[in-house]
Amino acid sequence: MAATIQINEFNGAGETKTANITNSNLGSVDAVNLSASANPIVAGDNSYEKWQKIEVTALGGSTSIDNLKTWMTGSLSGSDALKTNARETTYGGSETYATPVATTSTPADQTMPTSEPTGANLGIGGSLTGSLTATGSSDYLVMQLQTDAATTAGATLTIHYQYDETA
Amino acid sequence: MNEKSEKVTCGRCLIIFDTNDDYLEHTCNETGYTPRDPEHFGSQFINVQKASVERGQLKK
Repeated sequence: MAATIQINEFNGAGETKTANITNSNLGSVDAVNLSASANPIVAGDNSYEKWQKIEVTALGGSTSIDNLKTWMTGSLSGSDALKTNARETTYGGSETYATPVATTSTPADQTMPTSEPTGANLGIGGSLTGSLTATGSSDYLVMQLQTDAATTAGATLTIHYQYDETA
Repeated sequence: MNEKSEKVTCGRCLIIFDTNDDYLEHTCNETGYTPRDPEHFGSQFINVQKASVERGQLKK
């Protein structure tokens, strides 16, 4: 057996937590599991930030979870950019939650990698070398889609979440 | 870790729980399992789990 992991999302001023989300669609509202087609982003604008965490709900016989990595595959439209706080160097520690905004994100100031990072780029307990040895969560992963005025609809991305598990 | 609110909404059955422990212990109306059970996350997740265990065994 292996560990059981889920992705959680936090929304609103009250930091409403929804566990085990079903999508990471970015749109013009601050909402979990949103419909991108029903909440389109105006060309040139930003999406609302996504604030998510990776949570271990059961270790399943393993002893630790670490080396968290996130990246994207797929093609963005034109000069659009998916920004994130995830980074392999000069990691800023665990972000403190703030109500998601559609203005240019402060924490999400890095370009999301388009291939698997060499090392961890999302921390646990504020550190890229942190680990979970019991149920618990990662640091916040913050993401924001920043579109170009010439963007077109229909881009689809896959967000990858990867971790190492030690038996 | 910096979480202001303890309340948790199950993303499957949409029931709101007062604490994360309550959420983790509930049997989901949609899946029939608790969030501690791999089955709660569906067959695709179970396949990912099996593959990870197999990769680990190959490394031994």
